[in-house]
Amino acid sequence: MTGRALFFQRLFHYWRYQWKVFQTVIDWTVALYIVLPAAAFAVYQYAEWLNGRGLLNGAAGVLGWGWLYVFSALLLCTGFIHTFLLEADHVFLVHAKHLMQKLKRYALLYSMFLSLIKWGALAVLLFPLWRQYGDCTLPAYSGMFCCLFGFHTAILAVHRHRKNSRRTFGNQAAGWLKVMVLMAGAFFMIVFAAEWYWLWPAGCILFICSALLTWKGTETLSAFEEEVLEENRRKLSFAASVLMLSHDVQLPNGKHKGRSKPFLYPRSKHIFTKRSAYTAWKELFFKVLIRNGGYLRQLYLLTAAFTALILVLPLLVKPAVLILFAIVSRYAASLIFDRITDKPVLSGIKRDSDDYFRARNSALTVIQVICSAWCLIAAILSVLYM
Amino acid sequence: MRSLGELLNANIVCAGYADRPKVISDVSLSVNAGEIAGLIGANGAGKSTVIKAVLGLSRDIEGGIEWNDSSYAYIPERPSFYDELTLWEHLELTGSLRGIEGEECRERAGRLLEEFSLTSVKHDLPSGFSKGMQQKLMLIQAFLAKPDIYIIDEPFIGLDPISTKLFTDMLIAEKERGAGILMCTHVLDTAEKICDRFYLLDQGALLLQGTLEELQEKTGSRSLLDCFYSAVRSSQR
Repeated sequence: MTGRALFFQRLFHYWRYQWKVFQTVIDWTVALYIVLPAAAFAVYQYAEWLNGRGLLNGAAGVLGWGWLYVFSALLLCTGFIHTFLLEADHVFLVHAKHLMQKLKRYALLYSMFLSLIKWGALAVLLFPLWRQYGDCTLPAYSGMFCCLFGFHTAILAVHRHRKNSRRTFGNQAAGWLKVMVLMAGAFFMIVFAAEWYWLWPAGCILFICSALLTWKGTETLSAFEEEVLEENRRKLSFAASVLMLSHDVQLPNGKHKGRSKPFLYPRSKHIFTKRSAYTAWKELFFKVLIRNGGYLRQLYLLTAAFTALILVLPLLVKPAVLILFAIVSRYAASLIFDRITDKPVLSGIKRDSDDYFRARNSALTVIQVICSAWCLIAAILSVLYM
Repeated sequence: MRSLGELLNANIVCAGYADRPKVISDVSLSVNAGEIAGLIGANGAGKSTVIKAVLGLSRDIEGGIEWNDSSYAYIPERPSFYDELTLWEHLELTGSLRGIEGEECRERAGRLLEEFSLTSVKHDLPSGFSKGMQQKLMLIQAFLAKPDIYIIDEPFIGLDPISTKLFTDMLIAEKERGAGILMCTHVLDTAEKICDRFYLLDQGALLLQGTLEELQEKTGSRSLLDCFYSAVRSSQR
């Protein structure tokens, strides 16, 4: 087998898995009656926007050119350099390192290509806004996206380096600092976007530098475990988002073997000074929640989605969304609470006690209040300033 | 019929996994106070499925499990813990949820950590531990709880010789305290030394049960390994 064949095989399996996850949510009836008409409507709307009309033209005008900042921030914060390595490769391919190196190289090219597609799609999506609100030429507009693509690949390269290096505080902080500098650079470039003749070269240079940096990284397999772990996480991330509100399905958490001490509440410090079964259940929930990126991500995604809705929807609908969010956030927190407390490590401990239910109720209320307060602040700010 | 001092009585008609042929059938076992019962079987004999059925972790089960109001601690084959909690936080959690007083819990936990040589890593996350250290965490959690019954699934995997000795000594001490222990293993040498009664399992069915003397009498063999071997052979004929 060649590296290319292995790459295409893994790529096929990866997308087949995502497709199966997609099918768990959307069957062909939903696709036929909801997704396809919605897609057709979106294309029609896009054509309308190009002519300065359309149903959502007014909503788009709320932020105007500011949408570029929102979408750019979203894209710059997402993405990942695939490796398509599997745990079993350690055993079966250890004598064929060159195959894994080639696999990683193809995966790198694929990841860069994916990033290019994303920025190209964003450029097309925001084109009507540029026509209405943008104050630069078309070559400068396209150059801006080329430059953003360069910044994105550089951020991906830094993230890859950060994840593969030893998980010390210094390494992580340095990695995040570099990412912040690159993000600041990207926004500086958008604000002060000038002429195409420096935007295009800047984007290309950034891309070439980051590609060379990551290409060098494909030669080594010293961070094999971290790469497999990250690949698994990415593979499951879509499923985790889809099954976020499912009671029955729980996806396995990736385990970081390198992390030895918790960052928050180090040296086993208590959240609650009083020790009882009631505080123990609450402490268990809050400590696991704040130290588990997966659970935090679920709450973050939910809050971000509702915050966006509250920001863009009309004033009259905002209270309804706020109330809905209060209910949904409590439900999501209850799922997380049940998942945390339903572990074999706690077998032999009775959960149908008063303390358990009181702790559950109290913990869910705390999460509900925090989430609702956040969205209330967003609603007030949107009413005042938008 | 439940006997005096019986802490657990399980009559499993059949158990297994949904949409698949049943893994175990007609397995009856009991655990008395102050005894160690060994559940012996080859790989895939159904030992872990019996344990899961006893603990109520298996949905597809027919039969009855009587716990006699006993508290229990479970030590699984694969260490199970929270990646997000430190070793000490696990022990404090166990202590608080099992109603062990703060000072007593700290004192007992400290002693167990000392004995299993884990004091230096008590504020570390167990996900970074070796397999043996993770297994020790499970043992410490169980011994900290001092329950009426211990349900132990393959406890010796990953343990170093010193810890194995320490663990068996502790089990014997717990037995003398009056605890009942159901231990499933295929490390027969150790099982022969510490278990009072045995349940020999093969292909999901109970082949033989009794003390070592009773098994020797039934099979005409001497060691537990020979007893098990001849019981399996004669069932296959």
